Amino acid sequence: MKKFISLFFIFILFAFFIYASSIFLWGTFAPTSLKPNLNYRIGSKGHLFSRIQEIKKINSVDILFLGSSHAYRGFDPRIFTSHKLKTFNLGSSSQTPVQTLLLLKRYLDHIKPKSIVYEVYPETFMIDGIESSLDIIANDKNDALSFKMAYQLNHIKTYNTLIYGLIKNLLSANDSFNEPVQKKGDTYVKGGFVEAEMKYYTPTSFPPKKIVIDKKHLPFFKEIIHEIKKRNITLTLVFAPVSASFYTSYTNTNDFDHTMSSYAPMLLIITLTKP
Amino acid sequence: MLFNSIDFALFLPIVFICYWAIPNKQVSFQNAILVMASYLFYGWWDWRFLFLIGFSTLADYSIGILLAKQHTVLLRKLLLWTSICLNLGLLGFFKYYHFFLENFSTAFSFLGTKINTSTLNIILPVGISFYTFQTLSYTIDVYRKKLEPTKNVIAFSAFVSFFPQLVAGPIERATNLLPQFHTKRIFNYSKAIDGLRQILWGILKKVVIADNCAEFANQIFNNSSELNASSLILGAFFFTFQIYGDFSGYSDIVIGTSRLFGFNLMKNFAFPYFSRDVGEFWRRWHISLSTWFRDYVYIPLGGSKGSKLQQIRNTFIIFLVSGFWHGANWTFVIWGGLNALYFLPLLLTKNNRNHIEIVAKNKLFPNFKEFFSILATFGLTVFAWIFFRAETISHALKYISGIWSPSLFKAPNFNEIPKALVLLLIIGIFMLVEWIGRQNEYAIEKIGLTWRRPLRWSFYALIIFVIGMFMQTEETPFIYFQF
Repeated sequence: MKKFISLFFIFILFAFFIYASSIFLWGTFAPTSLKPNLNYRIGSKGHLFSRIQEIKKINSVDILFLGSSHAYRGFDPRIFTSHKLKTFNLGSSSQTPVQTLLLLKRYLDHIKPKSIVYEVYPETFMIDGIESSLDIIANDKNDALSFKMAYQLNHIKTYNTLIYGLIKNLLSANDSFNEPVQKKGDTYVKGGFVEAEMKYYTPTSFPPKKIVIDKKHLPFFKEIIHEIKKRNITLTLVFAPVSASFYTSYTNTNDFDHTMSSYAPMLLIITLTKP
Repeated sequence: MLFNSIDFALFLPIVFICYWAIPNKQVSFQNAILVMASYLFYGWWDWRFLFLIGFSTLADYSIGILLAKQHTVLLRKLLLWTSICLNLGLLGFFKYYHFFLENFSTAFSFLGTKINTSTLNIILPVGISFYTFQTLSYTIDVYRKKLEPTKNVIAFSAFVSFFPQLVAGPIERATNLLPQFHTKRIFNYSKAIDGLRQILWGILKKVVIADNCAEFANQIFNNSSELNASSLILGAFFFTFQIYGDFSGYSDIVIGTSRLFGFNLMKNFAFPYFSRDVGEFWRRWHISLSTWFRDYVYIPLGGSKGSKLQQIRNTFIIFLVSGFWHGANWTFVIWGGLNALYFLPLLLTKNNRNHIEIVAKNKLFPNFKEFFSILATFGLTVFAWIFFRAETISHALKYISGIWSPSLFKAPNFNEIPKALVLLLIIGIFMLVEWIGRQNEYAIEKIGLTWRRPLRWSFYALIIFVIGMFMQTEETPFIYFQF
């Protein structure tokens, strides 16, 4: 029995070593179609890599923006600068509360904002948060908070990508990486903003959809509010501007606003959209 | 609690350590731990199920004791039929109530009489079909005097509720499993290692083969009216591997887990897709159910003895009942009937026991005849699975009619074809490993046993890597849990 247990634990360590090595080799050499549970994309869409590099050099801002791609494409720092406000946009693609909390814990005390505008896009309360976790693992540093996030999401793709990312970090394989300012119609603007190439809007209709909040997000959302409040930072929740037809396709925006208010009752929830 | 869940990954080591930590390995304490663990495991789904299994256990335990005391044939028969009626009554109520109600209502509506059917909100208790058959085997064997009834209620409870095989078998015979609960169990290192190896292979079958195939099988079966013939063929093919990976993977996990606790369960699958005829297929697929029906239904009916007509009747009964056991849907009955049709020519020409040994034993490749026999049997099996998977008979018929169209020679038109191609490649490699290990209890049983430890461990670690890299990320319940 003792032999079994001790050899079992040695095997676990051995297997982890082989597993991690295989992840790295497979991740480096295999074509994308053969690695369904590994998705490491440094410099991916959304310019998170550039945003993270920039935030490390900033010590304080007036306003910090958080949220999904609606945040980093919606709040242009140049407009705020013209009003003598220093801002930074820490949004990332499909950012769910798990990732928002991770980024806040990493950078809030470093960037010391006076005010935070948190874009609460309903979809980010309905999705699993895996894609956003992969984005952060590939484009930011990996530390204890990354492990915590992986554990919270408990998804094999996040675990594999984190192992791959850690080995890359260990080998300093990303040190020479530089993200271009312009990529596929997107231009990175200092302050974390991504300017999209102007296109004519084609009116589209959307089928009616109900916002069903995945309850697993709520404890993280609550913790975000708590972290911000305990630092006496002003918080504003916003529903980012979307097209009128998209906004009205949600059948229960009032319920969503009500839920958000219940977690931050003193805060103003505003809608920039005119349905 | 699903075997492929985090809950089970925590539950199993805790039970394992408590079980083997008992001083002097006292059987009664070990059995008590197994009963508690099994009830916790079963109650994880719905605590209300515990009353049902508790009732079933106590009823058959008491009937067993009474059977031993009675020597009058009439009273013994009465006790046996009480057990049969109780067990099948519970099964019938929970599993088939709605089915019979709907069918009676439909039948009467044809006669012009409208029946008011009030439906009950009945939840199907997980695994009821399995433990019902297991307890029935106990009372029947006690009645036949093949087995002494147990006086130990804890051992009997452990036999009925043994958590590794509680929810989807293998349906153990009391003659095989019950004595193991009375025997002292000492930890055996080689047996435990073998158990872990079998669990590993079972997990790969479930999360890599079955769950990935399920993604495409579901997509294709759910949209069959919009897809071309080649897609439908692939849909049936994916389902064929889904159900094999799912159920045989489950059986491997169960048998492996039982070995960790010192138990030997019966083999449930023996590489059925390498069968050369349907008779062989049924000796290799869901063996515990096939042999249960053989021993308790087919042979009492006369089996293959008697006139040709009786043989045909018995064959149809056994396959139709087996089909109906799977679920309250006519599709399962048709699936059973189709298999009876496949089997009958073999039986009537006395060719049903031609292939007892595994194909190409001690050879690397099968000969041409064997190869084409395997292909033909596989083709028949794939065709029959369409009925098993379809929602209704009309769905199955439309699916089949969709296959016979000129689009058979066009490229498939379902979503994510590149991903499906990768899956086909994985299935190919998987079947190659199964072929290499076909003479063993499970495919990787003896692979690498003579290698040095680092090499052997690397092989197992690579299997873990394949699981981690290719596993389906949605937690999917085992198909047979619904039966």
